[in-house]
Amino acid sequence: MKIQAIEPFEECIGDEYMKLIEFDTDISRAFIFYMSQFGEMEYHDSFTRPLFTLRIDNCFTFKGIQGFPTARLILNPDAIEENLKKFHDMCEQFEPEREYQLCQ
Amino acid sequence: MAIDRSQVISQLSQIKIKGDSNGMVPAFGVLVQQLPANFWNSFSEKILDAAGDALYDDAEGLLENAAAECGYHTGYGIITSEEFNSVVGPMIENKPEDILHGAYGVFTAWGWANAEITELVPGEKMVVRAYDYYESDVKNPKKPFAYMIRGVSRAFMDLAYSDPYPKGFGKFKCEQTKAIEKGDKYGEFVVTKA
Repeated sequence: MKIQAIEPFEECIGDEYMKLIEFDTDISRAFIFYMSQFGEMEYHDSFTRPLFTLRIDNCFTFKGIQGFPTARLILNPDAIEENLKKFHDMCEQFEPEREYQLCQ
Repeated sequence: MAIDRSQVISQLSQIKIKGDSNGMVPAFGVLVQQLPANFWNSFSEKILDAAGDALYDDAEGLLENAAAECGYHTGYGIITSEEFNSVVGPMIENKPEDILHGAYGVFTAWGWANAEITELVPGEKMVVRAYDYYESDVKNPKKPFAYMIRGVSRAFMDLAYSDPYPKGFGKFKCEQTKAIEKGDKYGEFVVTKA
């Protein structure tokens, strides 16, 4: 998954560490499964628009909807750049052709 | 109306509430905290007691306004959040009325108040009924005590019908016409133009 844009939230007290992430494609089920290996994944696939939240302690919370190209990233304010890079690297290493299992 | 209130509440209730190491919960596009209801009720009671009779109305106004300010910004966070888009988004047919109905589903699911809209005249008037709300736990208040629902309800009308966020605050007012804390079966809140 390529990140196309990272925008701060406007009109929000946390705009330094709350980011809107825009990907080059819609978020797939496979990508959600892939990301689940890195932390605690909450995945509601029974919702009409499946919702996911990935929490990685002391790093970030990543939440979004399957089938949408944007998602939110709430970074640990103590290490914003470091965790942003970590998130970026995780996304880059996703292999769309590979099969992943959901880790919960 | 397209909003399936019971489904909204059921699905939103499945979403985990989990704070970070500072107790902050990132949800609905904002950071919220989970605190005991009696903390807020005691806070309001102490402010009103300290204000005394001479400043009682002023203190009430400040409490209600604090809720409205919070409701305006948090309300905007709610209706633009992933959670709302996921659960309520597919049901929205008529904007902004369905969004308003959905917002009260969130309000209920997250424990602020079991409240729903019973009358809505777009851009003019909204009547909200609350069957259970934490401010009704207050014993023998001098006057109706649901400052949170009053403030949040007028803020929701601002979000729906005033100028686009963040420039539309303060165009509506809300009166509490029934109160569980005063012996009524439910709380009732009437929002009209200010």
